[in-house]
Amino acid sequence: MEDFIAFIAKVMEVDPLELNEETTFGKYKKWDSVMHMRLVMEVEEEYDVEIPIDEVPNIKTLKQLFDYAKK
Amino acid sequence: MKIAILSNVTVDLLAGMLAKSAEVYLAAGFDTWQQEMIMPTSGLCESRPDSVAVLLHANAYADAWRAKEDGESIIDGWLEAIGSFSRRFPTTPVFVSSIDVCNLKCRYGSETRLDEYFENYLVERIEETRAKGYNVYLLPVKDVVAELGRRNFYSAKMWYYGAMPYSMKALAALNELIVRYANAAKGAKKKCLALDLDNTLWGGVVGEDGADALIFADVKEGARYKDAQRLIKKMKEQGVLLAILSKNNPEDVEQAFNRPDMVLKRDDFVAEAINWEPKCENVKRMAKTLNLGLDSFVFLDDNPAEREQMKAECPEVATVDFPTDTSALPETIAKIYDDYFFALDVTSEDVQKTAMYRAEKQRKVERESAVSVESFLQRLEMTMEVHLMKEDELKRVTQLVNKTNQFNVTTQRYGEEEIQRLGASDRSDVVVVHMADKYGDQGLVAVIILRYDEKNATIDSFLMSCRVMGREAEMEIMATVKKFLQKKGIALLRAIYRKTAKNAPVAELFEKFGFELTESSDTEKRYRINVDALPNKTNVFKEVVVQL
Repeated sequence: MEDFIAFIAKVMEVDPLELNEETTFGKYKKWDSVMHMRLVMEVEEEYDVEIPIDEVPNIKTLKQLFDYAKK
Repeated sequence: MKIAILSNVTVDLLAGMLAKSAEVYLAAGFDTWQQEMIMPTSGLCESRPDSVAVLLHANAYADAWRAKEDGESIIDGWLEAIGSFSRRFPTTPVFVSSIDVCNLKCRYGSETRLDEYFENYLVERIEETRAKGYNVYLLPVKDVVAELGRRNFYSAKMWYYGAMPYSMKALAALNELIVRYANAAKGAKKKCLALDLDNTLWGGVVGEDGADALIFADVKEGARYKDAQRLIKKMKEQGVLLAILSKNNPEDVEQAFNRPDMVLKRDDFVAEAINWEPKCENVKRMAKTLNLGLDSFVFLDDNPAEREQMKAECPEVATVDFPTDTSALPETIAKIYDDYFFALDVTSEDVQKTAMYRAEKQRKVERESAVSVESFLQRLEMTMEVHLMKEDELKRVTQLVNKTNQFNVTTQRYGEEEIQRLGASDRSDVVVVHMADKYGDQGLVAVIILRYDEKNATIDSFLMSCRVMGREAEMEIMATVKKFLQKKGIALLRAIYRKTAKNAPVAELFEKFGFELTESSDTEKRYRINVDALPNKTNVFKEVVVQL
């Protein structure tokens, strides 16, 4: 999880200490709908996974995104 | 630098990436780009960008590409919107992407290739619009698609999820492409490509293998070098200066260039250093002879030791990595052009540049044999033409204003639009100087921008191409400015010298003209002079035509 947070922080260009499992789409300022697209693409590429399109809008927290990365 | 990005799809991610290199204007709303271009009160028109990039995703008009008339009318509509913006902002370059029509699938074998038809139709319409005088360029997005392949360029998921068709790879490539075009619009670039010879321009070592045994041919192993030379030749024809930096015996090199199949000829190079001295010493000497800064050079050499030495001794020179697999050599050359020499336009000055530099060298030889400077200059039979900037000179003036470093008193940079404004205003003038001599035409070589307030004038900019330094041209120009200001009834002229890393050659220029120093600091000197006290005509020019 730590590595994952570090990776997300790099993509968002923020301090990893600002992020945790509960960081939430829409609530955390940097994670808007544009960043959402980017996160999905970056995670798919970095972790070599496919996140089905219908799941994309259901991802609300970093924990949920992390669950896809692990698969 | 401010770039406006317009598109018929979501480009917020791309805008975010562009924001690292420039200020970015992104239109509000989805697919509003045509309204933005047409409406004079739109955010686009009000944001006054330095350049505009229009990124078009053909699939967004999926139904249009099934019939010729439908597709043509969509494309015609685009060009109308672009034309409307371009007429209002004639000096703002608009980069319009080529399209990739990729939704025509389930095709039968003999089906007409409408996709390629529309892609070409757009390219032709853009070229036609350019030919009519619009400041519109093709942004070669289709090339990026071809380089990456559609599978890597597009993200079907993001397209169906967020109307954003591009993959991260595509976004990175598009970002790079747009930044390169926007930078080129500003005109800053390198000037000279310094090349090693053995195993760089041909395979083998001419001094050991002999000219006939060099690896250089139209097919197989020799073709990578021939293709590389073809690209370098094309760069030279577009105004890139070429130089040789080779550890060799001149006679051996002569043999190699005597091969009739050699693409590059000896006179394609403006300078050559073929000896056994360190290359960094040679390039320094070359920079001096050519009147260029070391940071105008790009260096290509297959020998890593030479590259390391160049990096250590001349860090200002851009030393390029040589491909470990030389089948990538032509591609490396192409990237050198894109990274360091890419230009939107090629002026007639650019085409003749090598010839002009070679003529300048010839003049230097003559200067060394001349008795006095004055008689030498007279023997050059120089002519000068001075007039207010004309419309077709705007591009060249912008180029000079943005790249002249040495003979430049304020190093004030301006975009095309600002220069046009300065020329059109009655509170300022843009004066240009052309020169020629018996060896050739040097073209538009100097620019003076004067600003007026009441009875006073100020030299906002005074810059001159390094090609004509040391010819008393600045004296002659100042004498014409004197007459011009007298005619306008201006009594006092002010001037400023702003110190930069490069403009030491003009540090004492105003003292030489007889100006009085009024203020002085580490970075700046301010002067004034009564117009009547400015220098008079020199006697070294054969003819001076003044239209002011």
